[in-house]
This record gives sequence, C-alpha cells and structure tokens, in this order.
Amino acid sequence: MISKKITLIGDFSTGKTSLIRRFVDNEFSDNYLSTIGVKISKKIIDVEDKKVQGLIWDIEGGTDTKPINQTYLRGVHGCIIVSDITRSETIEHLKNYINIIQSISKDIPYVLVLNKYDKIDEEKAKKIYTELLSSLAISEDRLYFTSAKSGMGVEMVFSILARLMLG
Amino acid sequence: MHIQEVFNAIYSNHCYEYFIIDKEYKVVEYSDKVFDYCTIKSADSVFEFIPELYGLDNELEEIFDGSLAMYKIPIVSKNDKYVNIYVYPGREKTSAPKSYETLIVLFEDITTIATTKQKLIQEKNENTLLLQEISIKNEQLELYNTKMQELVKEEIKKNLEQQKMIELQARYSQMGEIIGMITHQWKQPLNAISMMANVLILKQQNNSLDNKILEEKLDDIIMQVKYMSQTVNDFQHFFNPIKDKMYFNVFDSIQSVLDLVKSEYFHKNITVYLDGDKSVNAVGLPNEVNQVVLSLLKNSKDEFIKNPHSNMWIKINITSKDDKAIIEVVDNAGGIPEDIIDKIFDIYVTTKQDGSGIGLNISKSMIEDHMDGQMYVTNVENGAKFTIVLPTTMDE
Repeated sequence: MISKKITLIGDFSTGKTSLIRRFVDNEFSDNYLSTIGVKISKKIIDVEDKKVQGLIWDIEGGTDTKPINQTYLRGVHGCIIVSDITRSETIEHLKNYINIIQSISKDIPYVLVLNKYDKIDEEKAKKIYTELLSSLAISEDRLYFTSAKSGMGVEMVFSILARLMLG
Repeated sequence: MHIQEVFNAIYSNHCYEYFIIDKEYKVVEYSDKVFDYCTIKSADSVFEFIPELYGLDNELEEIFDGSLAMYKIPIVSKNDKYVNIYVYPGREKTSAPKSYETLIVLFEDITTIATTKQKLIQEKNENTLLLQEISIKNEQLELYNTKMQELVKEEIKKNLEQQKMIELQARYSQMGEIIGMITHQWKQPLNAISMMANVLILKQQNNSLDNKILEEKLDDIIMQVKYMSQTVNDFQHFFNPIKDKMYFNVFDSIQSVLDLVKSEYFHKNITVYLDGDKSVNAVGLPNEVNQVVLSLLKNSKDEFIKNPHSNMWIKINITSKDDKAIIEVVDNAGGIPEDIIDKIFDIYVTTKQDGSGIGLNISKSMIEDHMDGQMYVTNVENGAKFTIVLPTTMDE
C-alpha cells in the first residue's frame, strides 16, 4: 500500500490536532492543548478503488513571533492549511502558508480549510468564503468549511487531498 | 583507577536509547529500552517503525555520505513522551571517499523540559487568544457605542418632533378657544351694525332719513367695525411667535389677554380680577406667558362649568420679590385632588374627562425651559393657586 505524508499547517489554535483526532479516532475535545514537536497518526484513506496510508503530521502551529518549522515539511506529499473562521488573522495568514508550500515545490497539492464552522453564522461564513476565493484567486475545489466538533467536512477534506496526491 | 565503574555508572544512568541501521535502512543493533519509543522488527525498514523519518531519504543519504553531520527531529513518541530523535553517522567505511556504513538513531527523552515548554507555549497562546478576543470585543463595543449614539440621536430627534407636535396641538387648542371668544365678542357689534342698518333702511323707506342721522349711524357702524378689527389684531398679536426673550410689562401683557376673553367669562358669570404692581417688568416671551395665563384661565373656567356656584372668581395678582416677577393665578373652583397634585404638570395627566393632559405640561415647559422661570401649584381654600416666577434681568 502506498504511504503518503500529509502535514497540517496553520496558525496556533486553529484546530489542526482536533481535525486529526476527528479524522483518525472520530473524537473531539473542547480543551485546547498546544502542540509542540510533531505527532504522527496513521489512517488508511480510500480513494475510489485504491487505498492510501496517510501518515498525518500534526505540527506546532505558527505564531507571529515563531513561524512553523519548515523541516517538518520535508518529503511532504500533501498539505491541509488550516484557519479558524472566527479569527480573521488566521485567515489572512493562509496566503503565507501557501507561499511556504510552494517554496518547497509548486507540485505539492494542498487544500485550505476554514475550521470551526460551528462557531459562526452561515451568512457570515459565506461572505468570508466568497471574499477569500477572490483574494487568494483560487477555485472552490481548494477551499472548504470544516468543523472538528461536528465532523462536518473533515472526511471529505482528507479524501480530496488524497485524490489530489494520487494525481 | 575506576574507569570501568565510572563507565558503568554513566551507562546505567544514560538517558538515550538507540538503534543502528545499515544502508538498507534495516536495524542491525539496538539498546534494551528502545522499545519504549518504537516497535522494532529487524526485518522492517526504519520508515515503518519511525514514520517521522518518512520522506527524509535525502537527509539520511547525506548523513551516510558525510555531507550532513546530524539530523534532529522532535516527536511525541508512542508512549506520549516528548522525544528528540537524532540521526548521527555510525561506523566509517574504510575505503575512500569518506562515508559511513551505518547510522545511529538516538532517542533522547525530553518530556520534563518539553512539558514545561509546552506549558509556556500554551500560556502564551492562550494569552494571545485572550488579547485577540478582547480586541474583537473592543471593536464590537465601539460599534455598539456608535450605534447606540445614533439611536440616542434618533430618539432625541423623535422626542423633539413629538414635543413640537404637542406644542402645536396645544397652540391649535388655544386658537380654537380664542376664536370661540372672538365669535362671542363679535356677536354684540354685529347685532348693533345689523340694527343700525335696519334703522337706516326703515328711515329711507319712510323718507325720514336725513344726513345727520345717516352720519351718526355710519359713525356708529365704523366704531363697531374698528372694535371688531381691534379684536382680530389682538388675536393675531397673541399668536405671533416671538423667539427672542425681551423685557415686557407683566400687567399690560396679562391685561391684553383679559381684553380678549373678558366677554366670554362675563357671560359665564366668572369674575376675573387683575391686581398688583403695574410697574413690574419681566424678561421672557410675553406671548408665551399670555398663553400660559390663558391656559390657567381656561382650566378654572372648565372647573366652574363642571361645578358652578354663585360666586365664581379668578384673581390674578402681580408682584415682585428678589429680582423676580411673580404672577399668581388663584381661583375658587375647588382645587386639584391631592392624589394627583404632585404630577399635575406631567404630560397626559388631567382632571378633566375630555382633557388631553397637555396644557399644564406645555405651560410649565414654556416658563421653565424657554424662560428660565418657575411654575408650581398649591391648593388654597376652595381652589388652586398657580404661581409663575419670571426673571427680571436678562442673562449674560
């Protein structure tokens, strides 16, 4: 079975660990615990008739004073760039993370997620989504809403990334 | 020498575990406790049991060929310990060029330090989140404040408009009252003119109309018309809005009100007295003072109509004290019920069944807000006494 290294990147407290826990263990906790170092989880992802072993890297989130450690991105096959839809600055930083990935290789597939969708009203979320598509000049198949709390969009995002990684 | 013992002591207290891999990435040697961090099967490639090294083929190759001295990666191990993984070159090849046959993978347990670091990062992140939340709340608060200010402005505007409407309503009500009085006052001269015209017609039909009679009757008619015209002028003057405060003689001003209404009150057997110091001057808006006095007269008249008696009077007395002009309007119409006297100036409070409760509220507002005066009421024997206090000097 083919293994693929997937790294979740984004600002601190955007819900990267929670998304992985929801995807791998189908669990969620409201308690916030900052990640340090890297923790790897494994999960088999079905892509049509193929199976991919995802080695999912949960890494420490970036802050204004401490950007993410780019050595964690060595050999990465795909990235999920996570923002917190309730914190505008985490959305503004998405472009920086795209640049980091593209500085490693233009061919690394990535998807962007607006996490914590459960914490915002639908109209506001739609407005943010539309504005972001325009400001980042990306297509709709790159940007998704997720909620680690409810599970909404989580499986789909990993599945889409797996498909992109397989080309 | 105790070299061996020292080495033994160091080894038994070491905090590193290790395994050694060959060029095929297979394990060739390992320490006893390395299983605390990973599950090694010698047949497996290192990437199977240390997934953290997955994708790092290039870096490992560089260590094998000596171009990279060491690679370090901090991980959370399978037993939830914080661990630094170090990859060092192992045994050097004897043949040139310089390269290595094996790599040493060391596990350093840094849980104690990392936990402290994690707590510090957690604290810092939580503080940052808190600051961000405060900043958002502040923005929201500013937004609410702005909205609130707009709402307050809007409400003030609405209140002012409502106040204007109420004043207008009171004004129209007083105009209606005065027009009624003018109608009353015009009846007598109109009758007189009608009679004189009839006399002239009869005399002409009898051929007894001479120039002298004609002139006399025409003079009389002109006099009556002048009187009627004066009444209309007074009415116009009464409602002519004066915006700026001025000095005015209080007695003369109130006398002009009584001239307008005297006929009405006379026919209802209500005697209106005006007494006091004729020289008192006040500063204010004379027309508004007159409207207040007229309103008080009307209230008394309404009470008298409700409960008539044989000796109905209204006394207006003008005095001055401590640089203030004082107008007292007293009647013997029964007074104001004690349970509402304290709120008689509140809007929509009235003692009349068909009253609007506007008149006294507007009156007090005119005296106190427009002229910096005072207006209050007390009950006296068989009646009520309204007191109006006005300044006698212009503000700076």
